[in-house]
Amino acid sequence: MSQHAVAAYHDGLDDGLARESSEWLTARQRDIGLTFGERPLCTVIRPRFLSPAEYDTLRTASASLLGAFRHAGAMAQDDDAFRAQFRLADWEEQLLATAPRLHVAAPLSRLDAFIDPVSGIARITEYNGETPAGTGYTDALAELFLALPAMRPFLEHWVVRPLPAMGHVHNVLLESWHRFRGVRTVPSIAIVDWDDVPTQAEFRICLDYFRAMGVPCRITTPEALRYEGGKLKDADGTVIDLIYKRVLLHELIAEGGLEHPMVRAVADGAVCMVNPFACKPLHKKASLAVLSDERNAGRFSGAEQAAIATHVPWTRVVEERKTVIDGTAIDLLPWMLRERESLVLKPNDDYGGTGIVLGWEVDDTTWHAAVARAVAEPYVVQRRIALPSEPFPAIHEGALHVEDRIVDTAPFCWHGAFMDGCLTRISTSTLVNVTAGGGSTIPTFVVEPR
Amino acid sequence: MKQPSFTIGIEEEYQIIDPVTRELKSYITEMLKADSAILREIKPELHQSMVEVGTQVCHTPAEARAEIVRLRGMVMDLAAKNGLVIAAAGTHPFSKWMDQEITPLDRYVGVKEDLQDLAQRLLIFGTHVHIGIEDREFLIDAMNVCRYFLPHVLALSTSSPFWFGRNTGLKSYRSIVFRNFPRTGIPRTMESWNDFESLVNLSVKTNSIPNASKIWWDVRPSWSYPTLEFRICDICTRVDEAVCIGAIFQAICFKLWKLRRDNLTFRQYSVHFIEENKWRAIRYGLEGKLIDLGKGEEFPARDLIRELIEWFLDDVLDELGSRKEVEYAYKILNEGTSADRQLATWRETGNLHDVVDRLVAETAEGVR
Repeated sequence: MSQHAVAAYHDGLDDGLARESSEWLTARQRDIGLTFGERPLCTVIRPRFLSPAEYDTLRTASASLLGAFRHAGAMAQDDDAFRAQFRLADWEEQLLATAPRLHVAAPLSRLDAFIDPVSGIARITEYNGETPAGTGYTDALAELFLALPAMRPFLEHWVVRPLPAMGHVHNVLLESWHRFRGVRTVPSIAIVDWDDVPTQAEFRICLDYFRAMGVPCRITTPEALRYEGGKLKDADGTVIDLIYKRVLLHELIAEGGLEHPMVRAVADGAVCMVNPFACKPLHKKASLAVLSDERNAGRFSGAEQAAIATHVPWTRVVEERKTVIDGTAIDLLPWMLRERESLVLKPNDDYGGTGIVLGWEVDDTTWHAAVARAVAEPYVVQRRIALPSEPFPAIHEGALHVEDRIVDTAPFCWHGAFMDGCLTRISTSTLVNVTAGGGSTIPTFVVEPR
Repeated sequence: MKQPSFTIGIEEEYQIIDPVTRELKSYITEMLKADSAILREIKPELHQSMVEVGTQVCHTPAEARAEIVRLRGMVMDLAAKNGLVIAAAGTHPFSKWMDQEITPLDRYVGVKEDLQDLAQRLLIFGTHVHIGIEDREFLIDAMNVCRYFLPHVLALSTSSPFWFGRNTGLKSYRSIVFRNFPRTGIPRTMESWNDFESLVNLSVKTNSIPNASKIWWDVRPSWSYPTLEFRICDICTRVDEAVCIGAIFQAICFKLWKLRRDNLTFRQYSVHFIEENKWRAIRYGLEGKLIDLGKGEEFPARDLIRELIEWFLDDVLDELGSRKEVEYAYKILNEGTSADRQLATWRETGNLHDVVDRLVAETAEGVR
């Protein structure tokens, strides 16, 4: 049904309306800072459409899989041998050992999925359990698209349901604080990241949102923080109760080490941090390997195993071992060397597409070198999945062009328990990652005919 | 008992305004000559300077938001073609009711004949929220119980501090104007659907009303739809405020359903004290105190509204997918209602034209 919506939307477009919409959208994005560097976040003039049934399917799939992730996260906190499978670095193990726990390992998270173009089944390729970004962007873009000139003819015949997410971020942060401190006071929040990251615009959206909700909030950097008298303070002396952590832990530790004021304050329980250090095992790409590995099947319930089998592509940590794929025993490394065309290599913990090697886009020599490197460092190998694409309209050199783009579906997950709202990223390149500099972020709407 | 649908429908009544004089402009009959497709979506109202729209049946507040954006945009475009603008506020800051023309349709001429100057004086603009409740007995149950929360929500929606060019000192003067009408206010407790039906039947039989649509309580079983209709609120100036109000009413009904399903309920309180709370909401909005009828004590309205959301509604918001929309109330608590903003503008500039300009701009926020 969403294809009908796409066709209807495109039918309502002509060159004039498309140009007007593109210019309006670009200008409004610049006005409110929805840019990634200099480039507007969204360069196409159609949002993503899902039918109610498609959205329900995505919610059901996410919920069933989140149960397995939640279970794995809990086991990783308590079971050293199980946690070893996530291939944490020594410093990460130290952080986990010292930090107070929250109600779940990753209260804020985001799945990364591709909807199989034939079966419609969501294939989860990553679990962003550390710093799931995009909620502020998608909410702001959804508001812009509702007022977009090109949406007007569509809205006459289709009912449109946006999927706002910022309310959930706000709730997760406050709920984490309430459980952490055992009181229902309003915390002073600091959004913490380096001041040169390209996602500053989203921090400002979050800042405005929290302040509008009556929650004191500021944006600050790790360098500005001090830990004095049992309290974490910003440069001006303001005490911080809760850190909405956007800085990546490995960058924080690389810069300030385990003695960084923010790290010590979190470890001492002087400040509540969301996500907490405990998010690290789940955030590793190896978490998908842990879920799909035949050695762990007995650790998950029947329902969890079924969800994993349906939604998690076959994934293994790269190492010398024997394993099983499609019921057949294989010797992993030699098999990987033969099956380049159907495999992708991913570093265990990186972002923005860095270090990913798509087997079908490199030659044998490059692949062999990549496998050798993967053995030396923690890497995972994942089976290639079919990538869905959809036509999207955009203005190029003053004219309307409709071009197919690969569609990445990234549902937002809350309290590790349920999904609501969705980041959609589109790209003409196989590596769909906006942080990597390509593609567009677009809002997602559930639509049905009037 | 089958779970009700808890769908949402929101009706809004806008002011048609001349952007030069900032006065209300009697223009609906001219506007309705426009486009036949648009005619299906907008309705004239009693006064020619009013236009009413209604969303279609929506499943979530987010969907209702998209609908309101669409409808406001449509009316704004239509008004713009005629060199006019629209504003959403419970009263116009200074236009006079005696100068307004009645829409020359039979039903409005009939209302004018029936209610005389009361009808002419009804130059007020509200938001009506319909929540889908197909089970009639539960609908009555929900109506009885939710009366307690009506003043809380009214306090969030106030947008009518001015009347006749004067600061009335009240946050919802619209409520006072409407109070003069018969069959308004907080309804009494109904024993059952039969009780309600008997009341309607006797009223019709005695020529008090032609049908139940002429019962204008602050909350009532809808005459036209299988819905519980909330009529207490001033029209919300910003789209997000309207959606927030709708989302809160939906969440209240859903929470009451869950209690009822589990063989529980919320206490019912006397109309006397609910009316007292309503008066406080009308007079002071968020700045005053409301009575916590369970505790028998007064508390700041802001505290009780926050408590309503955090303690009573919180556990249903994720199930309904309406957390962001309901929690927009925190922003209203923090920054004030439309009435507060209008008063702030007036205090800053002393000019009611500036108040109208602000209303027009806020009505269009996120729309065009």
